[in-house]
Amino acid sequence: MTYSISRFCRIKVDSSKSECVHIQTDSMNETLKNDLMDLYKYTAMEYPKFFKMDQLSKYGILAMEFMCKGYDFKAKYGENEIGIILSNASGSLDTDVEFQKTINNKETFFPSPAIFVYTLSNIVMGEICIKYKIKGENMFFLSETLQSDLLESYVSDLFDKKSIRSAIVGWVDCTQGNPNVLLMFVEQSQQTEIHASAFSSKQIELLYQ
Amino acid sequence: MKNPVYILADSVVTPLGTSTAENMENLYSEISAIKHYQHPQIGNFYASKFDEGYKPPTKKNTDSYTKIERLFIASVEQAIEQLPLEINQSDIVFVFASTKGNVEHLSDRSFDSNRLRIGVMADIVTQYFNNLNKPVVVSNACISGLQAIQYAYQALQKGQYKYAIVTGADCFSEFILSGFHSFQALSPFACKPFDKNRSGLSLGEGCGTLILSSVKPEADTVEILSVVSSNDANHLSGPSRTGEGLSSAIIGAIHEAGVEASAIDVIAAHGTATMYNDEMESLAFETAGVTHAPVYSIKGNIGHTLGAAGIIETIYLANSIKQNKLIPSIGYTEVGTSIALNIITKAAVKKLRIGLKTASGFGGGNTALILKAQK
Repeated sequence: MTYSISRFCRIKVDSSKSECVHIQTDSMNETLKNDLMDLYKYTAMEYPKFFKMDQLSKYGILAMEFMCKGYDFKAKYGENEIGIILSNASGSLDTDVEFQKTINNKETFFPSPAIFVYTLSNIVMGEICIKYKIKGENMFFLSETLQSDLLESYVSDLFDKKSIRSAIVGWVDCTQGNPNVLLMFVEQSQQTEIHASAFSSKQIELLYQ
Repeated sequence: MKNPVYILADSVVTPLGTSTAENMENLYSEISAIKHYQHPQIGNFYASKFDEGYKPPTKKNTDSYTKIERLFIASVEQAIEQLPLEINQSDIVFVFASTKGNVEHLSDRSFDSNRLRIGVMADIVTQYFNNLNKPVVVSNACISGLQAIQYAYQALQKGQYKYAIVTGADCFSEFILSGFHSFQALSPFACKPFDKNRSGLSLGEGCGTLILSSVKPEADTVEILSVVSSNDANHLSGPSRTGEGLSSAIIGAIHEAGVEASAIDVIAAHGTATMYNDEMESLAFETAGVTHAPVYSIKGNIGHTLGAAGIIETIYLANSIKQNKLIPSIGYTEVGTSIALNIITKAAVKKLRIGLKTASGFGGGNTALILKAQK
């Protein structure tokens, strides 16, 4: 069986304007100011929970919104049939540093549960699952650089053993406010699909470039 | 045709014991490593911690390594020693599980901040063993350990590698203590999984290592039949009230293993002793049709070892099945969940063949794993 990337979203800091992010999807190619409030408004979503999230989760949700615009994947697949397999390099390090500040000073020692909950790499994945009601297989890998082979082989195995029928796959990283995101929607190949490209490590690398 | 996956060797290093055998002995004898401590701001708390300055023995000099890196190295070395033959490093993939890695050094300015990245920490440990394959690192909160096994299981099934060294560790730190304290999730006494008077979890630390392979060993062994995960899509820091996510993982694992729910002889629960977790688990066991099986949690012995829990507890389960001996669930006296479970209160000899291990974590993840003894 072969699988294809039917939708994708790439968000990265613009190479010439560091205060901007370059956002690319199947139907969009824009350079926008790297301001989370502006980006939120740009997507036109209404999701007040967004404002409680850490930056990593915010970029994950934004990438989902951009990627799935006009594509009702929930109509096509059951909640348990959609998997999510993400990865990054920094884990939740930015938020870890923020939480550590609340306990460093013994006089002002006051650890915040609202921050602590975001001190795990996989919380961005949890936020995506909650917003889009994704209940299938989930996995979070860490590595210094994108492991496209690992993503291809692990996700293909889940498809092959019929644990999932579609998946959100990718890399969601954020360090010091700078996002580096690639999300892909992967499903079984259907030749009629116009956007479809093969789900392979080569194609993942190409989209990530 | 998929390859079968067997457990070739294992090692557990916790405050309860520095080898699997010592850990098993203390589990059967109902010994707890959880002790009372005090923190200047948090006050009294209970945890299973290594003695201050504890250094697990390693073959090469590891003075420049951190506590968690040394734990990984010591545990992996211990597991490798049990193998009857030398294995070629190129046939091995290292798979790591950890939620917080070197986080205890976060505010230490002299510490190389790169090592706070768990991927870098994994590279350092892998290099110690002169292994050139890129390690795989899983960090999915408290299901990390079981998911590291899940990755290795799938990779070995299709013959991507001959051997997988699956190792998981997390260390106690002020960071983690403060976080769970802020959630009001810490028990004011050594935790009491599934008990009516339970009042939260106790933290723990340690490392567990499994060597898995599709090459069948000559001695009696345990085979991994399935590992399946799911997400609650409900709440970040609390489990679903219905147990739907966990039951779907258990049902999936039973299906993938090709066994009947009634064939499960024993359940090694996640059993953190928080009100919500244990209640949710009892509902999930009911939905999945496995409440007939004896259940235990070892959190009363070694606390919650976070990213290591899935691996350490799978090793405990595999050994208890091999030894045909039930592990008692300490801290339990009275039914404390709306579905009454068959909680094991005394170590007992019983013929065991198939075991179920479960875990659930922050972020909504659930994993279920099924083991079968090859006797």
